[in-house]
Amino acid sequence: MIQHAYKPASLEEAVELRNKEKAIYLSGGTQVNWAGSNLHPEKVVLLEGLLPDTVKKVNDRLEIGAGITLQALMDTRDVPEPLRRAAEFIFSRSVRNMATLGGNIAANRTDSYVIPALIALNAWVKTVDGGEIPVEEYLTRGKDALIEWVILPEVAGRCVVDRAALSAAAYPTLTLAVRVADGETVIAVGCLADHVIRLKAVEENITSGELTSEEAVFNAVCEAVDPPDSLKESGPYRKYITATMVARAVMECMGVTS
Amino acid sequence: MKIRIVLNGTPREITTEPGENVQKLLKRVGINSVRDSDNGYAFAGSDLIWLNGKIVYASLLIAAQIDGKEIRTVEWLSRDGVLSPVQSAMVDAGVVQSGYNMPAAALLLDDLLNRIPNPTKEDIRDALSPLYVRDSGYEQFFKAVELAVARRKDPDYITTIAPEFRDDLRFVGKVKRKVDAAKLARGERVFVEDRVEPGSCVMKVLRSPHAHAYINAIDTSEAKEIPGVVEIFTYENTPEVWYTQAGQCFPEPSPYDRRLIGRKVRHVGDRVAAVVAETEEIAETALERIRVDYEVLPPVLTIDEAAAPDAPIIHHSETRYRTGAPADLEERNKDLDPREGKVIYMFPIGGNPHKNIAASVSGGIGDIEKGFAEADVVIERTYEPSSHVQCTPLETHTVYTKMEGDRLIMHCSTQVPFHVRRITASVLGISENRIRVVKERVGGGYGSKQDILLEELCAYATYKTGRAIFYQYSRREEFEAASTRKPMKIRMKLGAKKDGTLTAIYMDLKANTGPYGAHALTVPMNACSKSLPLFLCENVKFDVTVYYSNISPTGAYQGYGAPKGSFAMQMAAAEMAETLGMDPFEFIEKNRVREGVMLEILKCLGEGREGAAAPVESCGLSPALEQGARMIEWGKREVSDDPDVKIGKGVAIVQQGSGLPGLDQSNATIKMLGDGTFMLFTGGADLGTGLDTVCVKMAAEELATDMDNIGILSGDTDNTPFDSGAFASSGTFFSGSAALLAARDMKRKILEAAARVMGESEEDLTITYPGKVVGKKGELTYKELAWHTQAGEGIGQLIGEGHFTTDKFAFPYGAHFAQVAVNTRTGAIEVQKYYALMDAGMPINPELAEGQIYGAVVKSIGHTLYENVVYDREGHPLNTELRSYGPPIIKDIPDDFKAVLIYTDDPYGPYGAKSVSEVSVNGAAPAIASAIHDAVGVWLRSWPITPEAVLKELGKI
Repeated sequence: MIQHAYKPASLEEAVELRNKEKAIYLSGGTQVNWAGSNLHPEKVVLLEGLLPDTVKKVNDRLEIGAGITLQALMDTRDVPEPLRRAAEFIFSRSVRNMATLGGNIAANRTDSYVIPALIALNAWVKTVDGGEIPVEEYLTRGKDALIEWVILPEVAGRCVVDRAALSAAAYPTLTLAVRVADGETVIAVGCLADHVIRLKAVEENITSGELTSEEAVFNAVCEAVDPPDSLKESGPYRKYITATMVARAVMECMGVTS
Repeated sequence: MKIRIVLNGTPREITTEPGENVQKLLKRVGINSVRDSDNGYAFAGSDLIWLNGKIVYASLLIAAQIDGKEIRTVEWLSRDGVLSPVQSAMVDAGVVQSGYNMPAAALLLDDLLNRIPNPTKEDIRDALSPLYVRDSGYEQFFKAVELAVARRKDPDYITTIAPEFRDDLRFVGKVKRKVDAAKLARGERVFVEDRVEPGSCVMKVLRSPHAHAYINAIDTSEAKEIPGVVEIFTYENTPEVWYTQAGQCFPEPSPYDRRLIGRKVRHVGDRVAAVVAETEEIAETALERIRVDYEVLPPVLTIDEAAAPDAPIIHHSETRYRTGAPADLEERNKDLDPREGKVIYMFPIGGNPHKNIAASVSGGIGDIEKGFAEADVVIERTYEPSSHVQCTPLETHTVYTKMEGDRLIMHCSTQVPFHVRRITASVLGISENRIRVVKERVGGGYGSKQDILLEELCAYATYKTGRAIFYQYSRREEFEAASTRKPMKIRMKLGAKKDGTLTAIYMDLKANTGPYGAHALTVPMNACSKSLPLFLCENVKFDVTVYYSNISPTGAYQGYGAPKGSFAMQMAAAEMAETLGMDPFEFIEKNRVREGVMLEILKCLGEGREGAAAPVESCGLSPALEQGARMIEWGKREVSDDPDVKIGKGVAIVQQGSGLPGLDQSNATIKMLGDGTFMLFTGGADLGTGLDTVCVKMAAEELATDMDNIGILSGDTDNTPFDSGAFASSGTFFSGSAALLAARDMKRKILEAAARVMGESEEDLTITYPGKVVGKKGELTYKELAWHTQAGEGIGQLIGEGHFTTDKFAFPYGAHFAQVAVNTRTGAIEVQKYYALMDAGMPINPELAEGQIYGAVVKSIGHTLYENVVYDREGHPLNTELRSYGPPIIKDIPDDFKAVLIYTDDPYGPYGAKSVSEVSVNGAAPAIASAIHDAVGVWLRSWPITPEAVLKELGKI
């Protein structure tokens, strides 16, 4: 059980306490306090009320406070539709009432709906220590820094998000976000590995114009992924559904309908 | 630390630890309505609270997070003593059944209407997305919201909730409030966990990590030394009394194959030791300090593994018979390991434990070989509804036991209070009059609380220690050690003429009963007895073999085998129709059961005893099929805008029983009180289904008095007469009939007594509303009569008695229609429309009957498409929390979802009623599977039917 819960007066103090006490940050609580979590901290630093939770347009980019709940994110029209839709995939409104954008990123779960969308939208994070790094990079190396803002630059092309799951509340089989623009393709998929991954080889071939049909994309994705069996689904099915849904999303982004 | 919150409008300062879970904190400070159904996994929503304007999960919060905040719970909604518009709407719409998380539902809907005064269906789905409802199927919440919206403007607003029946009746067949709904909607303290007194101990059970093992040795010495540990029970200090956990009438058709704690464990989660301690934390620490030396044995998990010639034997036990022992029994019992224990059969049920066979039976009518020989077409198919499906009641299994003097008092969440008493008495070796069982409100049973899974263990511990003990299963224990559907493999062989007339039906059913044989014979037999008679055929044969294995325990679950038997029978019929080139609807019409026929096959299908052919006195299948076909536009091909999506339609007919004629018994008494009102005492167990309301309505109708004038006490073994229990859909037919007979007896006594008082002839007197006797010369109110009868010169308090047994059958029937959309690219299946047209005779509680139908259908959509417990090779269940198990929520229910009550007047049911609580769980699997075939041309013969299964059959993977 958590023995100590520190309530700092500022974000800087939060960082200091976290480092000094070897505590972990507690934002909404949907990850840290969740029974299925593998985090069992004795010490937490409470972030509520410290992180910004607004959405503002600054020049050509959108800045979203990391403390915004996923429900508030969904309800904010200025937030790009793919990111709102990704938040909506979370089945429970009450989870969305509690979970924060920053917390969702920091948890870095492979079944996150939001992380693929952020990656596809070329999102950055601005951390309390003043750094600004791409979300993708943050997840691989910068995870220690406390996220203060999530930055969405203006991006070209269309972005499509999707999910596969057995039922509305089931853990997803697949989460994905795809964006295709001139000279740029992003395919971010979750649930295939320990964390959300990009299918870079497939992206390059789409960008280069080598893959222009749904079938070609499908085949390329099949080459690129080899998921193991999961609790309820076989590896071959997971490969198939990943390839099918990614290929369809790519076509949608390209404006090609069957 | 101290935190300051405002709780339901009152400032509170609470001493706590920073990391104390808020659901537990709230309970500790007296808010019992915020409950725990999922141990912090945030799926069920029983722990939802309003926190600073948002509805959130209390179990996802720690105390430090709520400091300085405002919390509201359901007590806030009815703080002025009356139900809020939302709560009253929920009650009137019929959504309050077992009620365990209805407080949470009320908070969600109140929040919704504060945000969106006129919500759409989509808004309602989103609002209720945090809530898992297992009993009522969600659909009626749309009506509840409609009502609540209107009542926020006009508190007296009323509208049509459900159809009503019989204009000549005042209460029966009419929409009236469920008698316990208001207190459930208010979150009052009516469940077992609300009875726990300060100073009570808790029990925690050490459970086997192995599916199959002997316990060579167990050392509890270190654990016993922990301060606060009261006692630890193992096989060494518990009685060697063998019993069955199945709550069935004695002598049970289930083997007595377990003792309280044995020397052999037969499933992951089997009992190894029971710790009684002052607190949960102490008990859990003690569990960690118990040392067990296991001799691990190879597990057996499937039917095929159990049946293999060299299979490990689950019960290589000494076998005994109360009657009917086979001649070679002593030979069979030679050279056995005493650690195996015993298996005792009350009478032969075809068991042979040394071959892993718990039970078996065969039977039939006619000449099956002749039937096949006469056929123009013969098909043979194997169906494997072999998924392991769990009841998942919101309130996990629970009990509270204490001593009062030398009597044991048991507060139980049970369907069978009298069987709990009997079994507990036999295990403890004491007489039944030393035990009182009080059935509290039940937060979901669905069959799993027909079994005695923890009551007897807790009772023994209380009896031995003298301490009051509370024990509630965790959700993981609910998956590992509660009872579930039996996996089955069913081979069907059908013969038919070219014109579609069936000439032969053969069902070869194999079932997996798991480690113990509770309901081993009767569930699989019910799979036959509720599916085979749906089609009229002169030549029918069945073989049933039931195997032991090391999966989690199985037992009774709503439908009781019929969902799986029905799946196999209906699918085989549909596949025969396809082979013949016939419309499946036509095939059903040609061969189905009709009113007036005699079901000969039931001669072979008694529940562990000789059966009897039974006539079908009422059957609403004709109007159900006709109306359903119109509603779904049967025969019209639907086309999707999406070229990947194909749409298909399916139909299934269903049947169940109304209790067990010749086996069940119900009793009731009714007393006139001093003011002319009544108390009705019934042994029946209301699980939230509305049985108490059924009984009150019947008494009120018979005695021509308002329902408020009939109080009810049910399911208390000290104060209510015997009832076999709430299973096999017996409630209305048996318990309701007993209540009706008691009321009739009371009526007779009223007239007799009134005749004396009024100086008139009994023949000249009638009972009229509102509760008075009217004669030629005058009138006498019940209140006046009570004064006369209970005075010093009176004849005594009027007491009516009702006793009901019967050998008559009343079969409910139904027709289910499904329209599904199948995405041929992804395999995704969407149930677009589902219509369940049900003949339950005269619906006593129409809106509750509809709720029962919706709930049963949603459960069966779940077991058809989503639900399955997955095991590893060593027999460990791997998905032991709700979300990974996968039951449906509101976002999964069909967009066009209708329950239709088809009226028939059964001659044997009280007021013509038949059962409704189980029958609707039998239709979804065959209706959906048939619809999928109609859409994409593939037959899916196993559960669950997943997108992967569809794609495999389509050849895509």
